[in-house]
Amino acid sequence: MTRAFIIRAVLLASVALTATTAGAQEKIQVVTTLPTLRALVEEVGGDRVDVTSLAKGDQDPHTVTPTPVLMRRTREADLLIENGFSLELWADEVANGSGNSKIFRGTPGRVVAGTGIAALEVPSVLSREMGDIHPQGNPHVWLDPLLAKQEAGNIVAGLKRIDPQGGAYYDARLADFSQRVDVALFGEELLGLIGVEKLTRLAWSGELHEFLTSNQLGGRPLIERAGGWLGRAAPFAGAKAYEFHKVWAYFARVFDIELTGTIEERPGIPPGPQYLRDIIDRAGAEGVSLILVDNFYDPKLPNNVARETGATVVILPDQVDGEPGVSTYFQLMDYLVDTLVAAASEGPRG
Amino acid sequence: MCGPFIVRSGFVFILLAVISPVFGQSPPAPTLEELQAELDALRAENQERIADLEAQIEALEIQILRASAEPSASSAASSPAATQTTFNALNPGISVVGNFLGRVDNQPVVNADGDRLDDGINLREVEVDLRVPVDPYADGVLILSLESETPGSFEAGVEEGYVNIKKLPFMESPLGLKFQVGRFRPAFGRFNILHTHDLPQSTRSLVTGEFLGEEGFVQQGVSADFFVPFPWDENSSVNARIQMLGGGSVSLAPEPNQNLAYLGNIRWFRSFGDSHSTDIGWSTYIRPKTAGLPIARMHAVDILYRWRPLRQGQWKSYLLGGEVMFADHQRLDAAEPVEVAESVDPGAVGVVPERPLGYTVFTQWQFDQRKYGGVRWDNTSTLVDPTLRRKSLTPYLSYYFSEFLRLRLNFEHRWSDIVSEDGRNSFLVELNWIFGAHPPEPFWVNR
Repeated sequence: MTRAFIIRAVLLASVALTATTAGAQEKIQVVTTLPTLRALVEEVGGDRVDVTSLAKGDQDPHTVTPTPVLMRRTREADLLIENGFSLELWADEVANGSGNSKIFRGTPGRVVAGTGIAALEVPSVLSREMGDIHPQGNPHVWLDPLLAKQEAGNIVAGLKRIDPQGGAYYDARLADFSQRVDVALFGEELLGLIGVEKLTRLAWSGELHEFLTSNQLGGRPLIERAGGWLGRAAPFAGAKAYEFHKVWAYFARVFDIELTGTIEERPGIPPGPQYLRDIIDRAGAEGVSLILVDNFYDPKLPNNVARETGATVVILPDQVDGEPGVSTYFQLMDYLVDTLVAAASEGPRG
Repeated sequence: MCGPFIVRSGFVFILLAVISPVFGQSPPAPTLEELQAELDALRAENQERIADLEAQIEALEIQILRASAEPSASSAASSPAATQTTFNALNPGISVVGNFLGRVDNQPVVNADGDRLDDGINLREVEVDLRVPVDPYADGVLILSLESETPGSFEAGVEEGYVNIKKLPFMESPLGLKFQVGRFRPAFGRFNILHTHDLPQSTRSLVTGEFLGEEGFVQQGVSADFFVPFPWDENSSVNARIQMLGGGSVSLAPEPNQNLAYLGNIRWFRSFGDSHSTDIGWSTYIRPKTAGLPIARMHAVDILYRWRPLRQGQWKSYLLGGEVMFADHQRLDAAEPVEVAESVDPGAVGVVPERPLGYTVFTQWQFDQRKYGGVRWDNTSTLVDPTLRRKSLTPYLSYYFSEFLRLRLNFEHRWSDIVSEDGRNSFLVELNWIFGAHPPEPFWVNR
């Protein structure tokens, strides 16, 4: 009796262990270049995926060293997801160095999340005279929540190629993620009144704030019906800002920040004294109140400009994991909006 | 809202006043409470109607807002993927590297051909780098060089030309196995694989020059590169390379011959936290004994520590590294050239075991986005006579106009048992430029 019980218990435990192990092995192994893409994969992939990011959240995504350890981390990947727009030039070296042919360029295991997105700041002239430009345009598309949904959609397409059985699961999670982004961005009321399609078209054309402030509903400006990040962003809406490097165009388009210049003279080119003098003079004339600096750049130069102009330097993460407590896409946007609200509330200094 | 209410209330009041005498006492007069109740009912009805009307107005406003003019900018739509095809589309990415060197010396400097190099300027090297995927299995690389050993005269050559087979058509590559086939810089030590323009200093170290050749060594061959399983530390990676090379063309074994040489390289890389990493490599080169020539064997150990912070540290970095080379080879011992000695007295040529050793150590600090400074210390014995030593100290400063244009100032003081170079001071100014397709990473420190 006892022996039979022990045998049965051992058998059951073995089955359970095998099932657990099999379940774990069945998970799709995903590697992303950027932590924000990792967060998007977690949103849409749920418990069918194991995902890891190669770059860190407070690392410049342009200049990640393709170390052997990164190559090793991609060796077992089923899917390698990159942002695209020539941002992660190191990704090919990592993929090729891994020897994992499932993720070589052009294979089903390689996903470019930015596919199909209309980039901003596409250079009209492709010349190094313009600095270290991205020929396909500004790559920081994930900073627009509406484009992050589009990236999530491309990620789901990649996941479905590798794991067709999970198609319905991924679709449902994408729909849920998209709905939560819409609500988090516009608020329930505005979303219900205008509809996400029209709000999206307005945001991408840069006419959202004009529309919300110039139209009234029940005698009140429509902007008062905005909730979520858009509602909370009211204190910095319409502000003029410099950015250190060309990063914030997509965020600025949605949240109505007018980017009037960069601290860098041209992408990747540090400013000379004459250029610095010009932007300091121009900042006063234009009423620039904010200087947006990614948290991996040395803030010394922006601080010098701020001292002379009275603008406020705002150190921002441009990735998930860029600050403690910022481990999801929603937390990233919360952090950005709250930090900018706090900076705008300070008002111009000096 | 108040107007209609007053009018209606007044009307009720007058009506009551008129009809009450007509009917006398028969219907009892409404009490004050009844009148109040009726008034409240009318008020509620009115408010309902108002709310209804407001809702209708809002619904109409929403309809108008939703139907209002669509955004004007075409950027609202996704851009179609670029589908235009051109005949150039499948051609290689092309980069061109130019390297210009000016120097001032306090002593005559001659190269291996006996040409004077001191106090001159020279376009030292031009490289044309072509890279492109060959097919889904392989990438092709061709680097053509125009080198100028003597100012003003150029020699064209193939610096490297190889195919990287990264995937096999018939099986998954075990351990990430990849092959490199063609002409390439063998993986001996840390710096031999770097081209001159990629070096942290303007010149190669004395130990490289002594053991491998003034510009290192390049050879035809086949290389296999794979991961060595190292499952107990996820922050480590161990890679191995086994290379089969054409013999010769290296200082230790310069004899051109058809025999093969073999090179093994194993490298352990580990990252410590987000900002620190170290890698250590061991290389062994063997040219087996061949007719009339003893075995040639040399080894290298190299190490590099790298600090590169993430947060607010985009333009800070520190490197400390070096390599040691030592040979375990046998020199033919003859007063005359070996062929002559053998012809005079076969068997008279002896073999002398030698253990030449040399090392180089360097450290480099990045001051900001543009400026790097460092110093290198070289100390090596010579191959011809391991009792003779050569040493040099080389401080340098690199200034990047941009990723693609670099100015470098380099000073070298040399101590040497070779009288002709002892006490030499050289000041070098190097300008390096790259144009064309974007290299994966132009800054050496990031590689």
